[in-house]
Amino acid sequence: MSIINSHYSMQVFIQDWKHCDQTSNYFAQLVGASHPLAKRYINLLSTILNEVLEIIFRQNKDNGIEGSMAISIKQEGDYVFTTFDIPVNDSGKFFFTNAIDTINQGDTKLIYRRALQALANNSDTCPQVGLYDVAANYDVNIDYQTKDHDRFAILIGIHYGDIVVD
Amino acid sequence: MVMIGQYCQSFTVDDGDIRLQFYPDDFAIEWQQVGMVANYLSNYLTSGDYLKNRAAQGTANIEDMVGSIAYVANELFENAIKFNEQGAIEIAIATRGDKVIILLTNQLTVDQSTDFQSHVKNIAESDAAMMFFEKVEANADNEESSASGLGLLSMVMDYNVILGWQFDPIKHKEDIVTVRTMAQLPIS
Repeated sequence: MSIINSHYSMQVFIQDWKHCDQTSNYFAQLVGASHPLAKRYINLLSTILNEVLEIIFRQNKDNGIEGSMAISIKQEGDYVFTTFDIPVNDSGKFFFTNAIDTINQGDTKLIYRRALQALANNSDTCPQVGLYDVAANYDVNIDYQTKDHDRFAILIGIHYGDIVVD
Repeated sequence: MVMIGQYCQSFTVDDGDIRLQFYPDDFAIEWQQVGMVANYLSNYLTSGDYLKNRAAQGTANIEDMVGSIAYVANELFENAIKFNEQGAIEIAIATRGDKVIILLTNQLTVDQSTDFQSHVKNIAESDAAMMFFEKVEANADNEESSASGLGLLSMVMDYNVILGWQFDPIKHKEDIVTVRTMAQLPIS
């Protein structure tokens, strides 16, 4: 079941960091309104979506990427699937592919802990730490789809069935 | 195709700085969410460089724009939710020159479309203030009437919005019409 499809000018999206928070909050409110577990679920969903949007924001701003971003949200059973279809260059494609492959091939809590240690030691800027956080602490499925040479899709699957009712 | 009022065909949903597409047949939009959509669009657009730069130059008041964009988006989206016969509802918003453009797309039955065309033709061709007060008086005299019909007039009167509409039949669906409502809100 489609909940919403949305399209954003990337040039406008990266003009203000607040756009990440505004968008994640709005989508979380939209999706969560129909769930009886509303408040806790809205907060969870907002946090997850915000982390992904912040990484997209930084990557695209740092690389000067323009074009459009499409975000679609679907519900299937107890899962909510969000797809972020974004413009990328080769560097961005490598960044996201590497980050998500790392998540899916290892112990996510260990990966996240190492990233935090690297940040604390200033040995690495670790821009992908937000994705590691989402994977390690929110029990989220993360995957990707490489599209045409300048498009990339980040796929997030969130199971809300285990969230305790308030 | 029928066009009424001031509808700018060169602006399409693809030109939106942000565009949202909803599927109320599958995922119902609750009434309290109408305001959330409007507030989100308003806050998003006024956080962008265009309006912030205009504010820095003294040619826009961000606080006023937040309120007026939210009001117009709310009215248009609310109408679309109320009267959408089937299919997706789409809202796109962008800054263009001295205006904020909001474009709303939804589907009506042929009968709804005919009634609506008559209504908006009146709005496009009449004095909005006079129509507004006539409608208020009519509502007051008729206990069964409501504030319905005042939203579009309020936009014109209170926010100097320029309105236009395009009505198109849908291929293979003879009883359904797509209506596009365009609101051009001056940046001030």
